[in-house]
Amino acid sequence: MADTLDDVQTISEPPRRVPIFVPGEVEGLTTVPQSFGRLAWRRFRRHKMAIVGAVGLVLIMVLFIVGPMFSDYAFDERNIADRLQGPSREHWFGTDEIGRDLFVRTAQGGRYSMYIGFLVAVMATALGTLLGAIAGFFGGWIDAVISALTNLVLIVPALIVLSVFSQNFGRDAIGLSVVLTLLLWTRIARVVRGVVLSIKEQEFILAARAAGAGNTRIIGRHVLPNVVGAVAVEVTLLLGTAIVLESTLSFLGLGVQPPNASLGTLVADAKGSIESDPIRVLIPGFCIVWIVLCVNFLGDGLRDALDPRSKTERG
Amino acid sequence: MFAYITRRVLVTIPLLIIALYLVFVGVSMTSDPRADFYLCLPRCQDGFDRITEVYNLDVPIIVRPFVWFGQILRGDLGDSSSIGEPVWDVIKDRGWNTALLAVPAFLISASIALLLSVYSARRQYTFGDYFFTALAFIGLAFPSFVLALLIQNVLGVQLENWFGVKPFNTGRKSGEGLGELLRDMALPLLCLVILSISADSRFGRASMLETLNQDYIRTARAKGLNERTVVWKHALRNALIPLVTLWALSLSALLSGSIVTESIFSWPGLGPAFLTALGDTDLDLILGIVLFTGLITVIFNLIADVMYGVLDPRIRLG
Repeated sequence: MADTLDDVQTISEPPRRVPIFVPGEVEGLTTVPQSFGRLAWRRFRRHKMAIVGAVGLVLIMVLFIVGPMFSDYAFDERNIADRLQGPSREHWFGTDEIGRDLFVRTAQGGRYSMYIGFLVAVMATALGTLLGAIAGFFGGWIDAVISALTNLVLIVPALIVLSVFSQNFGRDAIGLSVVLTLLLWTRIARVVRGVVLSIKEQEFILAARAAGAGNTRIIGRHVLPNVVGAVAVEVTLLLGTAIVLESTLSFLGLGVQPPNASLGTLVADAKGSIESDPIRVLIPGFCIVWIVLCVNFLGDGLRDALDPRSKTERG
Repeated sequence: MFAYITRRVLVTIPLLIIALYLVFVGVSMTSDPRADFYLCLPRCQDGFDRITEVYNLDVPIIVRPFVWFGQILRGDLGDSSSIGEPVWDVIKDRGWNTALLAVPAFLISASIALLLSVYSARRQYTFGDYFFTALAFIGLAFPSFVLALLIQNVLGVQLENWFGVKPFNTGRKSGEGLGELLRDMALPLLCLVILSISADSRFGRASMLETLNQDYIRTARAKGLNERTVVWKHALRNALIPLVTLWALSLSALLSGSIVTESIFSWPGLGPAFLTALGDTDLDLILGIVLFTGLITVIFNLIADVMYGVLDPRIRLG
C-alpha cells in the first residue's frame, strides 16, 4: 500500500557502500594511527546536518519531558468550561473538545511516540541482526527460509497484521511495538545478511576457525563486531520509519488506543475541526515532521561517519 | 532468462498461498460472522445455519482456507459483505480508480525526479543542490497523513475562504466530464507526487553522482564529446539501472492503493475499500484485495529483477 509502509521504506540511497571494518585498511595510517571510533566521532562532528539533527532531537525531547512540569494541567484532566480554546498564555497549544490542555497532551503523545519508536528500533534491530547474521553465515536452507519470511512480510499488508495481532497482544505500547517489529525487521536483516556474506569468506574467519573457534564464537566475536557500522545507520533510519508508521496507524485508529495518546491520534482527534482550527492539526503534525527530519539528518551523518572508506570530507 | 522467470514464479506461488492462508486464519480467528445470532439462537436457527453454510463455519478453521482456494480456482472470489457487490467487481472498479491516480502520479513524479537528480548531481554542493536536497529531506519527513491534511486544508479549504470560490474539490463525487475528473484528481495526485518525488530524487542523485565519477565518463569528455551527450546519453543510461528497480517497486506500491491519501481525499480507490473491509471484517473482500495487491507486488518485483538483468549485462540472472 503506497503510503503507509513503502514510502518510508524506500528512503534509501542506491547500492549503499556497506561500511565494513577491514583490519589493515584503516585510513590515517600515514599519519598518527587513530582508533576507528575517534575518527568516526571526528567525521560526525564535522557533519553539520548531523549535529543539527542531534541538537534538534535533544531539544524536542527536553520540551516533551521538561515542558509539562511547568504546566498546571494533567494529561487527562478535563475542564469543560475551557473547551476548544486557541493557544493562550494559560494553554500554550489550546484545549480540545473536553477541555484537556493540548500542550500537555502533545508532550505526552510525543513521549509515547518516541518510546514506541525506540522500542521498535531496538527490537527490530536485534531480531533483524540475528536472523540476517544466521542467514548469511549458514546459507543453504536456513537462508532460503529466512528470505521467504522476508518476502512474506512484503506481501501481507501491515494493517492486517496489526488488526489481527492487536486482538491478541493488546494495544499498549509493548504490544504495538512487537507488531511493528514483526513488520520492520526485514530491511536490517537484508543488510546484515549482505555484510556477513562478504565477511565470512575473509581470512580472519578462516584463521579463527583454524584456531578452533566454534560457530557461536565466530559469529559473536568476529562477525557481529564488523556489522556494527552498517547496523548503526539502519537503526536511525528504522527509528524514523517506526515513528512514521506508528503515527500513521494511530491516525487510522489501528495503533495507540485511548486513554493513551500519540502524535498520530492527536492529529486524528483534531482532523474533524481542521477547517475552523487548523493549528490543532498542524502542531502534532509538525512534531512528527521535526522528529523524523532530525532522525534522518542524524542517520545521514552516521552513514558518513561510520564508513571507514570515507575521508574526513563529506563523500 | 526463461528458466529464471519460471523458477521465480514457481517459488512465488507457494509464498502467495502461505500469505493468503495466514491472512485467512488470522482474520477468521478474530471475528465471528455469527456473533449477532447467538443471542436469539433458538428462534433464528435458520439464519444461523445459513450463515454457517455460507461461511463454511462447520469446517475446522485450519481447513477452511482450502475451501476458499478451491473457490478461487473456479474463478469465484465471493461476495463482499461490506459493499454488497461481488468481490471481483469491487476490485475491478476500485482498482481502476486507483490506477487513475497511480499511473499519472508515477509518470509525473518519475520524470520530475529524473530531472532533479540530473540537475543536483551535475551541480553538486551548489545552492540549487542544497535547496532540492533540503526539500527532499523535508518531503521525506512528512508522514502521508500530515501532508494530505495539509494540502487539503491549505488548497482545498483555506483558499476557498480566501478567494470566496472553491478552487478544488475533494473526492470523486461530481460529474463525468474530463474537466471535473481532473479537478477531483488534482489534490490527491499532488500529494502522491510529492511523496514519491522526495525518495526518488535522493536515490537518483546518488546514482547519477556515482556514474558521473566513473572513468568512462572522463574518457567521453576527454575525447571531446559535448556535455549534453555525455550526461544524457552516456551517464544517464547507467544511472537509470538502479532507478528502474525503484520505479517498478514504487509503481507497484501506488497501484496497490494508497490507504491514507485516498481516504483523506475520499477517492474511491482500493485503499478505502480495504479499510472498510478491515473494519467490518469482510473476509472475502480482504482476501480478494490481498490476493490482488500481493500479485501486483510479486509481479513488479519480478519485473524489477528482470529489467535489472536486461539493462545491465554484467548481472547474470541464474
